[in-house]
Amino acid sequence: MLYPHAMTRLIHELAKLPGIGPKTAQRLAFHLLTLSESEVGKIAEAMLEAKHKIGFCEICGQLSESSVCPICTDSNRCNGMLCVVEEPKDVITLERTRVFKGQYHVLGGAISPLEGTGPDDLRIKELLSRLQTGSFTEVVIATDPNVEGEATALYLSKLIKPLGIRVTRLARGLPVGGDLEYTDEITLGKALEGRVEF
Amino acid sequence: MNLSCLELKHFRNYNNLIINFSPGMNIFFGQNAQGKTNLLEAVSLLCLGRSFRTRKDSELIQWGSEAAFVRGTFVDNGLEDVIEIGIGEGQKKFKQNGHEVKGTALFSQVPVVSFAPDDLQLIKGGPQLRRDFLDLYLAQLDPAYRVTYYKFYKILQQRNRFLKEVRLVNRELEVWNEQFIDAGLKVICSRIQLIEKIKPYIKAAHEQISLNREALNLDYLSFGSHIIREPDDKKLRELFQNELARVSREEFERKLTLVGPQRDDLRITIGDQIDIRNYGSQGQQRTAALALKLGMIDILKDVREMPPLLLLDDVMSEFDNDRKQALLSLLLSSSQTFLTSTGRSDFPIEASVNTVFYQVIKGAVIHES
Ligand SMILES: Nc1ncnc2c1ncn2[C@@H]1O[C@H](COP(=O)(O)OP(=O)(O)O)[C@@H](O)[C@H]1O
Ligand SMILES: [Mg+2]
Ligand SMILES: [Zn+2]
Repeated sequence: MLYPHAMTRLIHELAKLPGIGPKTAQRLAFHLLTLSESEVGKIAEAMLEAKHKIGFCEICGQLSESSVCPICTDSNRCNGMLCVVEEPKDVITLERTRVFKGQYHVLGGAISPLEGTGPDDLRIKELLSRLQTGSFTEVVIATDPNVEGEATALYLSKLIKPLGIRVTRLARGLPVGGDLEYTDEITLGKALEGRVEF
Repeated sequence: MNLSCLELKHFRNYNNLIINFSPGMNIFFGQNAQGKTNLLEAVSLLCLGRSFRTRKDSELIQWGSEAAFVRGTFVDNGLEDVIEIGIGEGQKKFKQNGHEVKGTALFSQVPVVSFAPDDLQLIKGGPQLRRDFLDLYLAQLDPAYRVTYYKFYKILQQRNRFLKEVRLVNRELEVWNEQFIDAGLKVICSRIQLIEKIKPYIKAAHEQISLNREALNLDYLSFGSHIIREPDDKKLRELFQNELARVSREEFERKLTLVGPQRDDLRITIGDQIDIRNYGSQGQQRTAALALKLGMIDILKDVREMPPLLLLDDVMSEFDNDRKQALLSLLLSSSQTFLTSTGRSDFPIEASVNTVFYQVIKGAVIHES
């Protein structure tokens, strides 16, 4: 053990953060040691405060300081459409577009057997009970366009269609302002598949 | 370092399991085919990145499932490390504390030594078992060995493919030979050096448990039963070249590489160079097999500076009561241990903080309180 135990512990815990390798963790740890005690206290407090105050919306699963989030309580939003996403941050991304005016449902991940995430680990039961009791007429599945996201989308559509609710998937296609010539084959192929009527 | 928590999903006959372990002795009992060995196998997977009983990862996936998932929490000096392994058809994913890592990274984490009734086959069985034994423990003693071996193995596969494809004796083989000899010699030399290192530990362990105090000896056999004790690169290279030239025609006929570390053996003798595989009594063979494993515990402790986890699968019933007591008190005083047995009565000890009993029934584990 080269460092004092407290230092080893700090590096060890920092290295658990996403995107932080052992080298970066070490740099961060050294940086923290150069700060004043009150500076370090502010960082630690901010972390704890966020953790204590922020929970999940009982209805949609989005991050929320109250038991039901502002979107779910907003009576101006349309109650017929439900957009299903993997992570809380996806709601933020979609909200920035200001295009979607319906409700959200956050799954908390995607089906990935290799990572130990099965349907039971996601908020799918909650989704189904929302669909059964609510007045939704369309579910927009906005999971990521990768293997896990596609598998999750397929799984959900099989569960939802029998309820007589329309299931749609976010279209994949050409980037706006892009050039056909510079689009990769996969994106172009998907854009062809998902072409729409004029 | 010890394993404090294990989580299994779709692993063998476990659908979904979370279980906490004692840092001391963990004893699993239950009837046959309930999932006791499967638990030890999961622990070995977390330590080695592979199962101790099969090389086919897909066997670990619960029948009818897409992938198996194992998560283990190791604790060392108050610090936690979470290892996650996902096994799908033809793919394997490793994570340490949430970051994806290579399987080789796990190898240098937690040493492990396993005991099973099959260990007798280490002595009685074919050379493949002894090579596997050597390779498994050498890789734990020296993580670089695994890389060396893997390089060799890839070239061996290429060379075999070449032999399968060509119809006639072909000069092109010489191109393969050069690389093959280089990589093969590295494996042979690593094995010899490491055998010299483990020898005293295994001898000492054997002396302690054998009744007649006969000396046990290990030798590396290469190139058709040459005993090789010194990793002399020049001499060995010449020998390697000559042997390859000698079997060249036969290799083209049989379409297989016939010389190299993939055909070597570990010769185990007692007393006055008596080959224990062919001439040892059952008792001598059993003792030698046990010494091989006990010696590994001691050397891993020294080299890795931490005691290995011990996995003992169904071995208690083989001992008489005195030996059982002796073994249990040895285990109680050493590192974290995982034992299985069909009978609860195999363990004449009380449950305590450090000794926990679990009953295993059809893929469910019940903590006995
Ligand atoms: N891939 C698998 N999927 C489901 N069950 C399995 C799988 N591999 C083995 N099994 C089952 O596991 C049981 C054997 O478990 P094991 O741990 O060897 O038993 P024991 O308790 O005797 O040590 C058997 O019932 C076998 O059918
Ligand atoms: Mg068994
Ligand atoms: Zn909400």
